[in-house]
Amino acid sequence: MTTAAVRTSTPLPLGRMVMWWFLTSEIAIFGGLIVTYILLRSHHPEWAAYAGHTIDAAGATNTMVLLTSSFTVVLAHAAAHRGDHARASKLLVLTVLFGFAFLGIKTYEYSHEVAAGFTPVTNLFWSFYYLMTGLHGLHVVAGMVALGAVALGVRRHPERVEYAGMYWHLVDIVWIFLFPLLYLSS
Amino acid sequence: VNEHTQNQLGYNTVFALLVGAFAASVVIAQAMAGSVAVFLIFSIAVVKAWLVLNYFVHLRAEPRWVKVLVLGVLTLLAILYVGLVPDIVWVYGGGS
Repeated sequence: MTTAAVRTSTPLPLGRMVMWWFLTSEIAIFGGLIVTYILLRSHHPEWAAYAGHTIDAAGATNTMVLLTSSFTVVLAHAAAHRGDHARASKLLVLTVLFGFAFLGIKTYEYSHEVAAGFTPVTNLFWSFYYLMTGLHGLHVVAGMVALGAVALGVRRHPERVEYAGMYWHLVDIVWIFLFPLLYLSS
Repeated sequence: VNEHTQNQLGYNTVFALLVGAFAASVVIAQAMAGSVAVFLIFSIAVVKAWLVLNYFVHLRAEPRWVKVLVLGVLTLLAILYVGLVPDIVWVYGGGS
């Protein structure tokens, strides 16, 4: 453990403490969007029909992709903790590949929906759809970059596997709520 | 190391529970409709998020102040919801 990692008045390593503050701010951002969506949804029963135009199979597949990627990243954390850096690195790369799969499926969905005439300016439902899934997609990209960078330096900084993993789990948790909101609630 | 060896067994179980919960929510969405289905689907989503947060992010093993921090932001979101109900649910759209 580095000096910086223990320079805190709490029993928590500094890096993990910073991650918790960061994650709670992210919960506030996505939570605010989700709360606003739920409130407006209660006043717009016609949004159920719009949600019927999202591709359930793609959303379900992406849910499995992110759940599985959360599993691989937590296994990477366990491997790094054991000192098995090679396995941790491989699992992180696998997680990044799951990220690519998620983005590929999402791109297919966007192209299908835009071709059908559903764009961010079609109506409020589609504005929310593109805003929430787009912001989430940006977080997926950021997570892939972070996990990729950590995978390259696991041997020197094994503690960063956990920090990047915490962020990736948040990406998963956000999608756990977006999936029923935008796909299953039709 | 022992702690993580034990946790790895836990990780497999938690992952299986997450997949089972995901399958249940899809089946409910296909088989049911109405407010009961919505309630069940979102209850399952909350359980899934709780599992990830507690067992993959290890919130359950963190000091109390971290749990208070997370509960604090969730409380703020609840206040946001209640605070916006008069403006959006009661007023927005003229009660349509």
